Amino acid sequence: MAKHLSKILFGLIIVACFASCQRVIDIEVADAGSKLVIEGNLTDVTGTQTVIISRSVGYNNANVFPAVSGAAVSFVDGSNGKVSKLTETSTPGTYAIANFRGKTLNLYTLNVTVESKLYTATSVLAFPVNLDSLTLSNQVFGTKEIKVISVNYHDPANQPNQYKYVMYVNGVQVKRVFVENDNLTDGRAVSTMLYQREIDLKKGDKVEVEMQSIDYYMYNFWNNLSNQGGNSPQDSSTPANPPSNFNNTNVLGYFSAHTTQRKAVIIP
Amino acid sequence: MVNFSVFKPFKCIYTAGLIMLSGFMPLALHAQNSKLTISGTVKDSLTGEALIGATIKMEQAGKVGVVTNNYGYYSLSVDAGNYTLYASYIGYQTVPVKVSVSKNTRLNIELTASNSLNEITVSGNSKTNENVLSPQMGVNKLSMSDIANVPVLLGEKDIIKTIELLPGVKSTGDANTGFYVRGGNSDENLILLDGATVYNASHLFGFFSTFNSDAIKEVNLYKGGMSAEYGGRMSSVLDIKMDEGNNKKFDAEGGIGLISSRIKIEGPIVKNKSSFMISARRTYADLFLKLSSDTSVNSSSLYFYDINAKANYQINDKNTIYLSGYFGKDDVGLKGTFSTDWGNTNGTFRWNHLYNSKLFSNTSLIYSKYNYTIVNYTATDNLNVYSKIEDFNLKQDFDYFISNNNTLRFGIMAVHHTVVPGDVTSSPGSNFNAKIIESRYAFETAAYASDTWQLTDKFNLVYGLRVNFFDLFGPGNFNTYNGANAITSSNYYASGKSVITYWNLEPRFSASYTINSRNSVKVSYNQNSQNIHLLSNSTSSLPTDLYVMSSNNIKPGIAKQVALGYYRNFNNDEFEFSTEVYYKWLSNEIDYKDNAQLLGNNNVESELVYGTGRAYGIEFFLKKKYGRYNGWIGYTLSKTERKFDAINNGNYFPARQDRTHDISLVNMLNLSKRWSVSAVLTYGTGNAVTYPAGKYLLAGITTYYYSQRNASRLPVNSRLDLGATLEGRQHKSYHSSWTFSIYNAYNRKNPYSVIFRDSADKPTHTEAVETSLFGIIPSVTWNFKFR
Repeated sequence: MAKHLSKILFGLIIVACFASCQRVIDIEVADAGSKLVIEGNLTDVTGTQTVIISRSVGYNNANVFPAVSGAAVSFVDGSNGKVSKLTETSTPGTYAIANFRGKTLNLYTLNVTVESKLYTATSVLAFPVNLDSLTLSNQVFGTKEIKVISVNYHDPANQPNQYKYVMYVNGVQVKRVFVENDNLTDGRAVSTMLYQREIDLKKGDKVEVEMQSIDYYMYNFWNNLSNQGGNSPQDSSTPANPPSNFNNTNVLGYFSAHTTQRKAVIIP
Repeated sequence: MVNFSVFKPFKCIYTAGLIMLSGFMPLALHAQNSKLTISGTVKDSLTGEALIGATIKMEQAGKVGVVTNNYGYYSLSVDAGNYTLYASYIGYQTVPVKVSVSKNTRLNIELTASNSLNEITVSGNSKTNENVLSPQMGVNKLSMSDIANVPVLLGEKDIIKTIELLPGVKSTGDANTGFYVRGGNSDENLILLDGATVYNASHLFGFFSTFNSDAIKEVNLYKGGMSAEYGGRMSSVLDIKMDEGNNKKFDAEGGIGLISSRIKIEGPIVKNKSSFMISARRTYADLFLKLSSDTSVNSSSLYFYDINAKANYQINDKNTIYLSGYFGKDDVGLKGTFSTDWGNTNGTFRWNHLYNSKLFSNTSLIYSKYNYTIVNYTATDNLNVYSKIEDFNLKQDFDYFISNNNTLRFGIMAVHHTVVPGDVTSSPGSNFNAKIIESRYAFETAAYASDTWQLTDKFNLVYGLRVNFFDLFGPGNFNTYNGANAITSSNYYASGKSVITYWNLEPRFSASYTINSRNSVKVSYNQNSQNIHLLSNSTSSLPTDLYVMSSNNIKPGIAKQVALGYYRNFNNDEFEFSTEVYYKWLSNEIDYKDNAQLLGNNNVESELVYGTGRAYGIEFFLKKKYGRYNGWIGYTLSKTERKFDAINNGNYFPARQDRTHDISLVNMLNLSKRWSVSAVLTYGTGNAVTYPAGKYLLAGITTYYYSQRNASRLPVNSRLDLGATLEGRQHKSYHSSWTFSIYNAYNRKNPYSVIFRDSADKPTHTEAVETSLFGIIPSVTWNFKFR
């Protein structure tokens, strides 16, 4: 959190003292070739588990990402070697298995075969941690007071835990990656503020938060994404692609086995 | 934490020192035929300030001349007889001094400042072509009048902002005091304030530098060819000397500006023998916050203050002592949420002693500290982080005036470093656990010798060697990491037990060949090493930057640089021109892995990767030194690259600070007796950055794909700053002036950051959004002086 603290601090100074200014500029970049993107999720709650396969596009293209159909997709349970196949749904590029869940602390392997090439990733379904509650507080950012949602939970002692949060406001996903680990909070009652300025919260809004316990590699992956971007002096100096857990370096994306739990509040 | 294994490195250094000195012995013996000496100090007649680098020439002995050292001391070797000496110093009137010598003679000279630089006082003996004749290259000396006249952000005149206008020096951007010299990183600059290392030279995240110009006497920036007395950083030396204080009479001066005020008082303690100077300033940006009706905002703190103080006492002709100190603190916080403060503390005690008229000694005891504290107050988030780097330094320097054309400087030093990477403490109800990261201790010792030798009328030489010894010692657990950054071994070392040692030999050489008194060619080679490294997740000066020392995993950084230059003065030395080409090799450069966890990490060294770098370029500098109009133009064409195995397929890529073109134009014009105006124009290629080459969808968010490191460029950086000074009418005991400045006069939007997002109007498209910090910012300061 201290890392974020210094960024918030910096933001505070800039906003408070000087009128900074934003504008859209034209940039010239060379487009990279299209790459395979695999996004695999396996949760601990019985239901439909999905794997989405698509392709990346060049920077200058529209945000229309071609689906990849006709792939062979399966999960392998590391405890018993059982293979569970996913089938392509009516949405091209989306592969699913119904009435399925992952078991705590099991190692799972995702196998994807596209155009007779095999892509493999593994993930351990992390230890479940209960999302105790969501609380609301008012925070000053610059000269403005904003409403901030906090998640509250008890971190299990003596084991590394990593968490990811997904926030929805009135059903719309906040396009920000919230991620943290227990490096400084092991075994504590933790309250984490989910700072965001994308959708300002107001009275009557329904805010829903999904909390995931994720494994160490997925923490690195999401943490990289959450740090990416600014090219500014207070940001990580150079953005880079997040470290994928696929064995093949020529693929983007991830496979994450994680817990999931949701809670919602209405802003009073 | 003092330990006694320190005597081992001392012994090594002592031996190395002796060996080195014996290499210089022939020179010393050669000098023994000398006769009598005229020696003394050269000082300002009004303030008693020592004049550093003043030239003393003898009419009778042709071209023979010597230069005063860092304390204004000189020593001339002569036969018995009658002489006329000319002491000269830029901006001062040259006057002849007659002296009759029958024994060793003490002659203290006082010079009087010319009314202004506007008058060209060229007497036959005035020597203003020192830049051409001196073998030193890669150096820029800034006078305080240069710094005072350059318009700056919010009227806060600033040394670091001014040196960024010199060729070969690049700023890290608006609102930043970090600077890059000839392709080196911003932590590779040795910043010395009266000999004490200043670790973090920024206030308020880099909006201002820690140096209060009022308290500064002289600034020298060495971009290359630095003499062997300087060591510890790879790229440059910024040597800042504080005012000594007026030892003749009291005066007070100060200024009241929009966001800060400052005051300086100086005067004699014992007239002509002892003086003091104290200077302080404080910003009051937080007073504006108090105007806010929001209680959270108006109870926030946002300020810094700093104090410079210095005193000296001349015990007798042979002994002078100096005490100088700096203390600065920044405080930023939101009431009830968090507070953070950070700052530097430096102190230097020095003793000048003359063993005889040819051997000058300076003994320094130096203390440097940088620390920060972050406190988080909220009931659930209670957390306190403390971190510091602290040095105790003992330094012994000698100036041996062998003959009129040969001066040997030599010395030894020993520094005890302590790094506290970050102690995290918390209350029982907090989110956070206490976590203590082991402190690290090291001894760094060095010996050096540097000889300045005028071989012939045309050929000048400075050559020297520095031996640096670094010893990291326990107590603590030291892990060794393999290429994949996994722990391969872990050992506990008891207190004082050496973990690893590094020796570095650093040859330094520079020479000038004078074609005639207006033209010279210079060449230099220098090798520097560095054992203190700054890790930062960002390129701005956040107070939470982490210092690490060379260790079993981190090897000392080494830089080697060659440079060739051509110097020319014309129009009676009114104009000086120089051009230098350089090539620099850097090894053991540090970068960190993505997601490096720097705070509260016992294995921070596992997060690092090591590579090499190279930088090369050509610099042009044309300066008009005198006249109603003066100023300079600097241009740099350069390339700076880094190479890491794991980045960019192991190929060279542009460093962030790679800036192909960099131009500064500094103009100062005296309109009348009371009005003067100035204008500074800068233009530079944008920083190298990594822009996305593609994009894909992950977890419902448009995610960017990056290919080559730093293959794109931020937009061009350019700015025009204007300044004007109105001098008040002259009063007998009081003078005032108004300084007006306009920062970024044509309101250029310079890029601070560029981010990418889905366009709001066309959701299927990506747009690049540039943030710029400062538009046009006018300011006014009222300055006063009592005398």
